[in-house]
Amino acid sequence: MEFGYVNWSTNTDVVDKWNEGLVEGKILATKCTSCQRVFLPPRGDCPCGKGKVEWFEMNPEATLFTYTVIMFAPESMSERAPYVVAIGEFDNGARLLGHLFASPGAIKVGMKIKVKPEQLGKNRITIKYVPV
Amino acid sequence: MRRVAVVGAGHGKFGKRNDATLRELAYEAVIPALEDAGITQEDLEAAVVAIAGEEFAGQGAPSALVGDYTGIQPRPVFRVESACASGTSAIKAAYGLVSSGLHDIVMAIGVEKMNAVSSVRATELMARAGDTRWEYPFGVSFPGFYALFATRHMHEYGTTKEQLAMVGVKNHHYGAMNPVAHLPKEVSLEEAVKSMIIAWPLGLYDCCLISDGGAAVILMSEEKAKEYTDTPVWIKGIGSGSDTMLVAERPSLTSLTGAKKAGKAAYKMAGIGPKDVDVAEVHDCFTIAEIMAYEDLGFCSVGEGGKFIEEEQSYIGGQTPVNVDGGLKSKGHPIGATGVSQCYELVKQLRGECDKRQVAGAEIGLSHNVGQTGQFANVIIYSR
Repeated sequence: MEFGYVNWSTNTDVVDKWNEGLVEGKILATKCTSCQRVFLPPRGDCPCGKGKVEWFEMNPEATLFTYTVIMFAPESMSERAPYVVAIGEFDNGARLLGHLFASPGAIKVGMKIKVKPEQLGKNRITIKYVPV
Repeated sequence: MRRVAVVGAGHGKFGKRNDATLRELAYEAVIPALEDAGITQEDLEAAVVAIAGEEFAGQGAPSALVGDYTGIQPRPVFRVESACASGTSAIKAAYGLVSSGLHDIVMAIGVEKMNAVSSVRATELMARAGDTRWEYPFGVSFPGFYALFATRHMHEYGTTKEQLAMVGVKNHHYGAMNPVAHLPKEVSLEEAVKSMIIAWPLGLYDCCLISDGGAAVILMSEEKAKEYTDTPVWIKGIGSGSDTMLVAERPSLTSLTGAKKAGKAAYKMAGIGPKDVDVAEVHDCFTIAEIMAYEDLGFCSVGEGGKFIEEEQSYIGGQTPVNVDGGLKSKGHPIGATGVSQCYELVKQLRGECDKRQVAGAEIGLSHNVGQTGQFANVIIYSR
């Protein structure tokens, strides 16, 4: 399974586990067992170097921290433009970037949104935000 | 550490240069820099070359080509990369080589050939400087990241789209007087506000240009500088910083942590404060970036950047004239060249050679050069 609309990165165990979570409808994050730092998107290693990371499921509800409407897209995404890129902020302070599916006129910083997986064909999956 | 001065500076024409490739662009900066310093390649001991992305020009090991074509070979060349801050990283490396005593005369060259590829391709290559695993897959263009900052700045501080546009209007005003500028023309506020949206809220006149071009400067030890010039421009302070690869995870999206750290360190090393700066070159890759720079560098209080431009405090005659060469917006932004081009402008300003754009009596100049979306930042303070 590949993550995202376009991708140039190789899948590691961390990406595979994240993708498996998405297939099951879950947003998974990791947390360092030593310093308790939360990673969303997940990291397999904590910079503190002292602990292991453990996986947990995120509450998918967030508030819209900021957004933009991309009119002129990079080459690999030009067929999808225009699209809304948003950053959601979750109740544990984590933030995640993804597309927001809402009409640009109805978008306001601070609005309630929810992140969910979106299957993009058989071998590709991503996340998207929708208004609550 | 030994004192280090900039003794020579050269600048090519920025623009969509279909007549020139990487080698010619470097040549037209290097030769004038040598002439300006009154030396030849024979006197140089080394050169540091800033080229941000070899994918643009399609040339591997591009600093070797630059060294060869400009006659620096067989003296050593090497390349540094820190995205759009590569130019000031080259100056910083050259400063280290001279201040340490390893060399006495070193050139820093910045050059980029971006228009060998289409603009949609260039947008793609720049977008890949974002985290390719987690943020690039959503097609966040380079303007897109700065648009995320702009939306948040507007939300937190009430900054307006008009205030953003005013930065572009100012920079085009000065760029129109700069013979090396890519787009030397005035733009009205109405034209700027109503320009085509690239990434909301940023329109065409909020975004820098995709440019080709080169700039070069020559650094010397104090002893050598005194031998070659009566008007050395001293490097008084250098500070640097960095930021998270994932933009989403930063505590603040209205300020660049690395740029603030860089500014603080540079002020400390130079023994000055923000109000002592007579003329500044800041990294206005987008209009919001210049507004954030006013705040990060302490030219105004946090959240007051929009007001600062509205009150024309960054015009000549205002509190701190900023980007009076046209900035990245009007002069252009050949990525690797930009930090060196900022140095060129400040050398000319501090020598009093800027004609209509001259900031009268300028003694202290500041260069603020940001790479990527803040992942790299250098601030350099120059003085007469």
